[in-house]
Amino acid sequence: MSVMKDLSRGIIRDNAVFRLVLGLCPTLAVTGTAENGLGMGLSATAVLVCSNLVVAALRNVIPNKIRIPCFIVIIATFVTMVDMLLNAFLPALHAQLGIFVPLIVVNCVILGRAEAFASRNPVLNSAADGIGIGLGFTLALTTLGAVRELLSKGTIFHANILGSGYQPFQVFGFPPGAFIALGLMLALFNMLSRKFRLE
Amino acid sequence: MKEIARLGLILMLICAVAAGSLSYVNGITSAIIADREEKEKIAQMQKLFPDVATLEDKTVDGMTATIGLDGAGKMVGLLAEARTEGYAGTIRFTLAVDGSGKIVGVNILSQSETPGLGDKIKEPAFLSQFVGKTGKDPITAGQDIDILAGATVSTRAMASGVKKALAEILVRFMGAEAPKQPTFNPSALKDGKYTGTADGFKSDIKVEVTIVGGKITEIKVLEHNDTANFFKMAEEEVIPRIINKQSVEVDAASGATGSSKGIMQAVLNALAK
Repeated sequence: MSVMKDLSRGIIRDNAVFRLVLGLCPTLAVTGTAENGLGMGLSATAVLVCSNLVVAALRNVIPNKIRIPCFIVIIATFVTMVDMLLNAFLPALHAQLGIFVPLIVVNCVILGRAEAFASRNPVLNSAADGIGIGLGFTLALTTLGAVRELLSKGTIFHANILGSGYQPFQVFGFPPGAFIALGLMLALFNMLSRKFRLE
Repeated sequence: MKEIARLGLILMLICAVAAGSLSYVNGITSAIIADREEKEKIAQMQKLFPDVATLEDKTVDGMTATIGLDGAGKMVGLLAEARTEGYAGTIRFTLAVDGSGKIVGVNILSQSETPGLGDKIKEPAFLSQFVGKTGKDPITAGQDIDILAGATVSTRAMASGVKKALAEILVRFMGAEAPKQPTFNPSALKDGKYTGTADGFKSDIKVEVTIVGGKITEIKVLEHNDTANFFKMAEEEVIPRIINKQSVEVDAASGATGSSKGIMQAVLNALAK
């Protein structure tokens, strides 16, 4: 499979949230606003690319029996590094993301890609897969965040869209609203993918 | 056996490399982070008190404050953390007070009030109402602090929390005298009816206390707007206890602490005049 194909596949065809239905915990928890969704998506992408690279490079060294603990150690190391580097060099972004960064450790998209792809494919393809899946995840989180922010506050990225007369749907700012919004978006995505024959 | 040792060794190697690289990154970043945090702290204090040159942390009676000193070592203001019980949990906030005992700013650190209603307490439009208040101001919801629509309990919690924190700061860090706790002695009071008002859970509670022969014989609630069934619990338990003990230092009705404390304080206010 070509590198380009590995990259583009993750964005729509194998979208982590809408097609693989992976990583739903952060998807539901941090998408109250589009900004949080974007920040979480990009941080997860950075970790995903790094961990895919290392896992692919070590794929012949790591014994099959202990691959999961090895993957977790590698992922946790990168997450901690990203956390420390953000705190030191991009404090504004770090303050914005807060608890979301350490939470990336338990994001099953990253472990899932390490297990399903990076441990079986060359370094370059794994990096491309990481970028593709990461962008797809970012796209999904940002879209869901935008929809929830629009419905619960009438804004997207803090820009007022629906005007001051809009009576907000408070529920979309809460966890139940996350489930409802995600369900509706999954339905829409399934409908579109059937129409364009992505199956 | 050999297999386990081999697996363990490989995992240990990976962990060792991970730990090594983390400690390397930490070595680079920790100094930068600590340096930035210190600078941010001073910058934050300078925003409140432009003359601050150095900071000093001080703890008095369990309350910690960051005290800002000017070049000559004189206190120009302090920043202290306090908490109050809101509608849906503890509200943590910081209170900045200048050298003359005036509030310079209030900032909410964490709160879990109802989104869209009670969480408006963290908005500048609400918090700016506290700026400029001193220990002599009432700092009471409905008087000098506007009540947020739909968030009476949150507003009252913030107002009384700020008032209490300011009083504590003045006593602990600014050398103000501790206010005397009002007391009363029913046997020294003339027969008659006394009225008093105090803060309940979400409204003012007004009571009428009857004294006959130096004893509290009856306590009637004249006005309140607390949640009816909780208030009833408080009323039915606390009033007999006060009459029984001839004191307001009695147990609150469990589940209705706010209303219970309000009744006790109102009786105290009535008799301590």
